[in-house]
Amino acid sequence: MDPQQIQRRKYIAVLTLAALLILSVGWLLRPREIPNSPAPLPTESELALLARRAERRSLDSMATYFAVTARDVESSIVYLPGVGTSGVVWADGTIVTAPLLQQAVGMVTVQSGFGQDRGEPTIWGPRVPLAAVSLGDGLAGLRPASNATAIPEAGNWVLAVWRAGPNRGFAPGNFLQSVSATCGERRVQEVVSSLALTRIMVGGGLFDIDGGLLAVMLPCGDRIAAIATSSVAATLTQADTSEQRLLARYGLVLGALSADEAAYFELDGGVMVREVWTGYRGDEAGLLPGDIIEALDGAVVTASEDVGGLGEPPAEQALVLSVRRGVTTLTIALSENDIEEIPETAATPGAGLVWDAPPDPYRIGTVVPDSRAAVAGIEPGDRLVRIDHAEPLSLEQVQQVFADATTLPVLLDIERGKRRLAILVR
Amino acid sequence: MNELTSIGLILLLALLAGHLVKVLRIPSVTGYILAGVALGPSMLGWLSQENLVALGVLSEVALGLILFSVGSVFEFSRFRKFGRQVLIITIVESALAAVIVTVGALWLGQPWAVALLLGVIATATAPASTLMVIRECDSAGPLTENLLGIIAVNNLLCIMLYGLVAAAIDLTIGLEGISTGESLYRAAFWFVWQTIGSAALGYLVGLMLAGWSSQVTESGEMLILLAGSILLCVGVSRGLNLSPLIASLSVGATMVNLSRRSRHLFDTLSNTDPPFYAMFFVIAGAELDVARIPAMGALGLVYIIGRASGKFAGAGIATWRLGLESKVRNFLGFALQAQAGLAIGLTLAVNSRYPQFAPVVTTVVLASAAVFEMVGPTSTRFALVRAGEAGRGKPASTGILPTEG
Repeated sequence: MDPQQIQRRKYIAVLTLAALLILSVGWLLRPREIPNSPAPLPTESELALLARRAERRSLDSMATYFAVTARDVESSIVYLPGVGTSGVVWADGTIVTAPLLQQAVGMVTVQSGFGQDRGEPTIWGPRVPLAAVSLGDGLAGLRPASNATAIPEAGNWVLAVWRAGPNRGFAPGNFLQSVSATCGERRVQEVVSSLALTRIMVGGGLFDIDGGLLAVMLPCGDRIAAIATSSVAATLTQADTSEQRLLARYGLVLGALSADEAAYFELDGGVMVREVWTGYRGDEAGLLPGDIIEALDGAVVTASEDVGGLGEPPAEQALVLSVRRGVTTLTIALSENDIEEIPETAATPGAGLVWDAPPDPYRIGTVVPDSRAAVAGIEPGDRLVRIDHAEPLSLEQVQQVFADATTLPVLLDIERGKRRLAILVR
Repeated sequence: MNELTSIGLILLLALLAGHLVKVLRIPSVTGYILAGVALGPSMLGWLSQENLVALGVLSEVALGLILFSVGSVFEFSRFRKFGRQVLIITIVESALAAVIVTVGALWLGQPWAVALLLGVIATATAPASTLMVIRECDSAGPLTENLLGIIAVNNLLCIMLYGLVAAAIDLTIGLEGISTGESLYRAAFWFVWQTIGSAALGYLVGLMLAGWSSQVTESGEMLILLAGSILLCVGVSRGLNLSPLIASLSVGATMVNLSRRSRHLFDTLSNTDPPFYAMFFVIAGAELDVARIPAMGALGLVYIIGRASGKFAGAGIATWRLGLESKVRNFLGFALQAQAGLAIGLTLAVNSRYPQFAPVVTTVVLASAAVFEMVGPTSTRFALVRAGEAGRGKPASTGILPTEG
């Protein structure tokens, strides 16, 4: 072997050792967090991804891109003309929309790009910031919205899509963050974006750029909020109960008597009307907070289970309640249509006196912490309507009820917003 | 459309387009790219994004083979002769293109980071389409020699410059939750790892290829060996976060210097690789979004004009100072205009590393790549023909190791 060849082999051996050393040492010394490293040269699939991403980020081609995405999700958005809002087709084939007005409950018309159908509300009523409408078999052509696979990063594009009659509307914006917020009486996860949400968008969906559903736009008090799909799903599950149906259908919250309440009423047990929502059928039938339900359709009621029938699908005939109010026993018929009240005994509350409603029921300005009222759950702003089933005669009577620690327990009828509550103050 | 149908369609339409454009004296590469543009999602949509993703592996094989071929210009004996002047020309033409584009972007009010990133990306010249035009023209001569050297060195330089600019941006804007010291270490590490580490890997694969090729006699076996080595190189580069581009170049450079059979290997390759290259360019064309061109705005025009004029002026000044012959001085600038793969690749890197700068960089680079990739090959062909070097290589030559006829 000539010296030149030997020299050449030496060079090759040295270079090989150096290359192995470089790769080994480099691999050992590499920074731990790979995502922050420079991206390697792209594969073709990465280039395709880049083209898509780039398309999203270029303002000039955005309008077309958004229109395509809005068209893709169009079959997941419907319009409810009777309610005047949009709705999103949910995974189980129901429609999620804004809370329904009580008057609208019944069959609801649902319009989509594939025609018109009728749906039956399954979840609605106070305390729920949404409503669910079941279309039964009428889902032909409609497609449940697919949930977004991941929460977008701040600044990513989002797209609000809704319907106004037969027309589709859409508006792009940028995702800002997902926050925990209050909607009515519920804590929900809210998607905050740069979009100014307006009434016309209510019931529509907020989608990511791939057409994945991020949130449903729903009213929360006076504002419109984009409620995240996770919170919508949780609300649908929690609201599908007998109690919620009872509240939605009749505006009633019932509860078994506590030990203190049982002692106050001198009963061994029973079920009390705890809340009556103004304008609902329970209110219109004449039920008042503090009423004790003694019998339902002739069957004696002693526990909550005995009134479960009220939360089931409505019976064809009116339900007849036997109700004790103070010393009076009333028979009240609860029906989907007709409301009747049949007094059984002639005794009139207030020992023969009929009281005009006070010009302004006693409004509670302040509640002293740890006082009897505070412990019972009375809040500033509540209005006192009745004490022990009777309208208060004077301010002095009202003050006495709360002033004397030795006073016997009293049952108060409190008006709070659109509902009336029964509260026992010990 | 399924993948086999799309491959068949790509090959036949590429051939058809290649024939059609020859009538217009335009390189087949441009025909392939135009066929891709027509078939792709931005026009007819016969090739969907899904098709393009599925065909991505074929493109990777083709790109690896192209860069392997380009690496052969680093043959020690030839590079010793041409190396210095190639290096000077590359530095001057790249620097001028980068400076003009950067200054133009700053003048239009872009942040310095965006301006620098655009400047660095502007330096890249597409090795694939340039090499294919050289092969198609059977070109040989001083212009061709310099051009081959420049496209190899240019891409190395571009990747290194990008590493430096990225390091500067990282150090200035800082990375979340990382100290300045760690930022500095990261910037330095990735710069060295992507250049030296990639070269080291390419050397090892090239050494294996050179050693094994001496035992292989049949052309078919040679092809299997080559394809296996290139795929291994690209795959391992990705696994180790190295640059497949530098690694593939390095395999070619090692092979050409260590194996006496390298010419046989490159000739074998040139007889069998056209279908891969046709597919590569059709796919590249399909990914160009021509609809984006009007959207690039004033900044895009500054980028195109700045890059083109920088390359013309840089090549002209450097070749004049080096005293090269007039045909090189006059036409080298024309031959350096093509831009595609590396520029788009760097845009992807910008997209994932600096999303805040991505909208501007992506729009400008992707739109101008569509322009340069359609005009560039024709410009290169014009240069080679007007310099009188077309048709001077041996007909069987790969164009990779051009020899004067």
